[in-house]
Amino acid sequence: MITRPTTQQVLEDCAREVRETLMPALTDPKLRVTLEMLEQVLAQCALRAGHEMAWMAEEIAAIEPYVQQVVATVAAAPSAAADALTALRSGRTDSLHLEDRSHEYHLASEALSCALEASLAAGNQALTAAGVTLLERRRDRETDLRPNFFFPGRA
Amino acid sequence: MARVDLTWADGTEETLVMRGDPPPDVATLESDRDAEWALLEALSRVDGLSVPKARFYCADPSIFGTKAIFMEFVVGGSLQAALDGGLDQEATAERFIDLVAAVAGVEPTQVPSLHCPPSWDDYIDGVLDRWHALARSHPEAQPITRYLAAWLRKRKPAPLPLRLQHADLQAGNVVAAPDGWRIVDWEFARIGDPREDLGYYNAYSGAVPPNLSQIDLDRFLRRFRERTGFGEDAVNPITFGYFTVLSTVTSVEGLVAASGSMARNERRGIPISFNTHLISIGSRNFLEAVQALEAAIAAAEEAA
Repeated sequence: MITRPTTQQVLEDCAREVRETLMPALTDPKLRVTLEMLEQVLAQCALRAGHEMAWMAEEIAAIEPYVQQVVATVAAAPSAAADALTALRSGRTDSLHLEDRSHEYHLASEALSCALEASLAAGNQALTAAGVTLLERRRDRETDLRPNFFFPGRA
Repeated sequence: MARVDLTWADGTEETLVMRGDPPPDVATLESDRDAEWALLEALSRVDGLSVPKARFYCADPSIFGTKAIFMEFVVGGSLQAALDGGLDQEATAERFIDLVAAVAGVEPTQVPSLHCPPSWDDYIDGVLDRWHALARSHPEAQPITRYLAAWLRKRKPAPLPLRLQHADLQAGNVVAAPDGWRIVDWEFARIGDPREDLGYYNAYSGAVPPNLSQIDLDRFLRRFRERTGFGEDAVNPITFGYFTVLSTVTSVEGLVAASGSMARNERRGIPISFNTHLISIGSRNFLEAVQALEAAIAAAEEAA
């Protein structure tokens, strides 16, 4: 398998080709909007290819202790948060295949969701704030994935 | 949507606008043309509301390839285009809020084709239930949306009388005609809380500037109160922020449903992939709005 150029580099170059070669040659406004979307999708895919495995692993590692804390403080078993934590722990994997890591990320996201709902329902401001901090981290990653965002047709 | 130049049998020429459905596999939002037509007919009869006149409806898709609504053709570009072209924003803000207030002044009895919920609580609980379901509808857990849904239920505001809402009221859906602005694209209209159109406008314009409400929010809301007669206890920056989040449920449902369908290999199209950007932009804006509102609520409680 040839890994250099990386998938990120290949996709970035595809996005560049769309932006610099195809778009200037287009006069059809509908096709241009489609290409403007495509260029941004390719740019996002390039960034994801470069980082998403690591970013998911980092988030999962941060979410598990938070959910554990919520379960210990305001959502003792039986509770949705406790069940979701159990599911996350039984679903942990060393696999580096994207499908497996995405499933683990989903389990962590479900556990975080349940833990935040439990914190909010209990009126525990400290735990709610800690959960929101995890959401902010996700929000920031999603912002990183839109480096040159603009609405197609309004460039 | 298409412009239609007609020549009638007697030789008369007329220009109309036709609205139809996009192909199902590329549509990112679903809407109901039958309901839209019934509404447009009723709206054409409401005094003080500026809308293009509804003319004809063809419910048989075999004729035009889609159900087709024909409306008066209004000469003029969108208000969004005018703002992009340098239209004075401060002066425009007052005219725009008057349009929003006019919609909020329409009572359910004036638009009988729209379902009227039994009460405000029934209505809002229904919207909150949609947020709850939406937050669980994607193939992958969505913790930001789950948090927003739980927060909205916890912070339910004081009620107001149910009124008409456009549900996609933004500058792109206003035709800035020389003889008066017209509100178009009523396909998502319903009976609901009169603050929802205000909030939706704020959410939408946060992504597609300019946001006229942010020039002077207090003045913007004061004019809305003056035009509608609603009190400051119900229309204020905190409820404005609350409805900024709540009101977008239909848009977010459409985006998340399309994204979920693609994840299940049921739908395709570059717009669906692109629109994941919009989902994350909404998440960012709503999360920040909730944090600002929590700070404002805490400050108000401390002052009390």
